[in-house]
Amino acid sequence: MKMRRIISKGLVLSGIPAAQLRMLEQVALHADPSGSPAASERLYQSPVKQPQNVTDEELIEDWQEFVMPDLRHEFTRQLDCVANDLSQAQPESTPSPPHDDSLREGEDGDEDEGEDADADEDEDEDEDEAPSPAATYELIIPFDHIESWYGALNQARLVMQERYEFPETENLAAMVGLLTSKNLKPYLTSRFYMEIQGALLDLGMDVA
Amino acid sequence: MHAATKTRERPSVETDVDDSLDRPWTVTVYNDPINLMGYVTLIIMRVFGYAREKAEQMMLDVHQKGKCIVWSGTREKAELYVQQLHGYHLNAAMARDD
Repeated sequence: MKMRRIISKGLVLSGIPAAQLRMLEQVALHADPSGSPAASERLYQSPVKQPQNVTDEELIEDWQEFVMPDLRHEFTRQLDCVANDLSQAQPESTPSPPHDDSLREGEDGDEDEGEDADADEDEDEDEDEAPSPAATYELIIPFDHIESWYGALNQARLVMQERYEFPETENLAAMVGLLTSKNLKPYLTSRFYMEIQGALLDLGMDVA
Repeated sequence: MHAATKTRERPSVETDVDDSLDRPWTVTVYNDPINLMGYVTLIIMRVFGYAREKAEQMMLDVHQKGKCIVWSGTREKAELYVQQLHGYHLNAAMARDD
């Protein structure tokens, strides 16, 4: 998979394998804290860590009444934005070269891929509907959707961290040794989301 | 020239004021295994308007020491800042500055 910044479009992710597209489509599923109080508490935090008096308790009550609904609305909006962008992902006719595994590529390029895109559409007409394992997709993230994407991926990673209790080490080799059959796949999914976030941060997010 | 004015002694009134609202509040960002370092720096810059160098130092404190007080002031502003930080999923809380 490759991510490019194209001024006229936004961030263009190309050569997305079908399996990775499915992982992206599961962001909302992973971001749902249902059944995990710890995940819910991390996503919707209290404004004070250790309430010490009545004033703190009142603050928390007000927070739950007035602030939490806004946060819920905003987090849902982020997930909806991602789902909408994913629904417009297009199959590509030719997979990206296998050696091209760099996620980030260039900045502020103004590449015009109109001709290639047209060719893809013509060729796709004769193909089967069912995606082959080798099928790849192109996804466009408009610039004004980048923050929603980052936020949605963050929601998913926060919830997964709490739900699956990944060991807290930055050493990947040590981490793999500590993972179990239950949390290995979620951990790899979370790492994939983190790589996307890193690319979004490098290519698309600025101080407003 | 001002005319002479009579001064009157101010009546003494005993009050029982809860000054907890006037005491400074702090906003603290805590370390967590999810948020990327560059993202934490970006959000601190964005929410508080700090220069990159200051925000990076705060991010490093969060990362290395586990937490960093990033702001102090009135309760109302602390609430606003914490709400914004939570909106960006940073692990943050407010507390009275004792």
